[in-house]
Amino acid sequence: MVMNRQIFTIEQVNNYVKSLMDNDPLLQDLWIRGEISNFKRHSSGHMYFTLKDNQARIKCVFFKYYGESLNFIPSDGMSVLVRGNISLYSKDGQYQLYVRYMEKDGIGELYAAFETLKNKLREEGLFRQEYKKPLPAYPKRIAIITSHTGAAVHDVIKVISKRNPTVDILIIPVMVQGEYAKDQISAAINYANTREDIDILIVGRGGGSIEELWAFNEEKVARAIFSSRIPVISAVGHETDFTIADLVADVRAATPSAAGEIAVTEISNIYETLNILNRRLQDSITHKLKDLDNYLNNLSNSYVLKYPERWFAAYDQRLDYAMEKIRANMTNVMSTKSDRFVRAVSYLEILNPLSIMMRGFSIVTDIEKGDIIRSIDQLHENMKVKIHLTDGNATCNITSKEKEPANEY
Amino acid sequence: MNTELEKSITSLNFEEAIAELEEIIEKLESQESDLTLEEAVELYKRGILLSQHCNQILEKAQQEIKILTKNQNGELEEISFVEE
Repeated sequence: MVMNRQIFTIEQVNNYVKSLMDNDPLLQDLWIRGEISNFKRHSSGHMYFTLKDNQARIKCVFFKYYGESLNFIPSDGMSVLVRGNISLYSKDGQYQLYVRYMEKDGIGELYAAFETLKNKLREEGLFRQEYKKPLPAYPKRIAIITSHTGAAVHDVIKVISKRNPTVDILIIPVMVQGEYAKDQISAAINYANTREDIDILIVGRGGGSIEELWAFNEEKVARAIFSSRIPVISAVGHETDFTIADLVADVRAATPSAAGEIAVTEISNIYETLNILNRRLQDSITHKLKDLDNYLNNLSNSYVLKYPERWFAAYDQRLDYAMEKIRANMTNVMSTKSDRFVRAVSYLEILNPLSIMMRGFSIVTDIEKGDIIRSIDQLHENMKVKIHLTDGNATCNITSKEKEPANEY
Repeated sequence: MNTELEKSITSLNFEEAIAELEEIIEKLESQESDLTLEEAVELYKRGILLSQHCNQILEKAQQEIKILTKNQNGELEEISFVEE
């Protein structure tokens, strides 16, 4: 035998295989479907299990820092989808899946079903704001549709009783998960609507995984909520995700406790409201009476009722004034006319020759021609003239004439 | 107005009573309303009764916490709820 052998340590071999695996791109990120078995959670928080199916199995490790994103507790027999990379644990010479993410198998289908139903109901208008019924401000009885054993029912009762211990509560117990949940929840909603004594429905449960909440994503439940005459508060304990029930409900509460707070006003606030209303009632009647009093005062103090004669006086005065004006006008017209008459008469007086003659003047005319003699030049000796006086006339002979010397002015 | 006043106040629940009280106050507060003195006083009287009724409802109410169950004959029954 030719002694030309290269001897490796086990570690060297394992490291070599590991490096091959670590450099293979496919092995760095893959999804595997399988069932969990031999599940162990170490005190360190890391999880170890085997993933198997009918043909094969593979070892898996799920380190604590990745496991924190889990929203369920893995257990044997659970069907899951895992995502991770494959590498070799050289100490054991075993390759294994280093899990970075795990979800329950079928979740993907659930999400798809959720989206499909959501879109369908949205198109039908079941989520529309116009269909949301207002909550009554002062409910007398509230029905809670949930499991009678869960924390949810306890939380709602506690909050309601603390806020207003006069509000009655009726628990309508239902299964909130599992095969019969959707039928029981929708039947309970329909039943509540046959009663006249329920003012608000709280429908919900405490938080859980998507499968545990699934009944609240069922079409049957959605339709029962939509057709409820009684306003519905959805209270599915899951702050981040909305269920279909949340979208259809009249009001969505993030938790059952929050539903209690939304449904019921604190009794101290109700007393305060009553006090304010009482005060307003007193004030309003006081005001009303004062208004009526003022009105009466105003009426009895009104000018007409207080001094009726003054009301006439104004008219009286107007009448007087009118008469005065007429009178003044008349006088004016009369006096203007009479003035003109007097003036005319006196003009006539002045022009009347008789009146001039009355003052001693006389008129001399030529007897033959009849002309009025105005100048000495019209006269000659032995000429006959007539002298006109106011009370008669006389015929005279001119015996001599003498002309005045020419007027110097 | 009178028939309305005669309507039994005690049959009203809290919500109905407080709603009517608010309505009366708004009528009385309204500047435009041409209420006669008699009408205003009648409304006021009814308001006082409603307000008293509301207070009584709150004071007298005993909270009932019940759970719906089926009895042996399969009939629905409400029994007092005791938390487990």
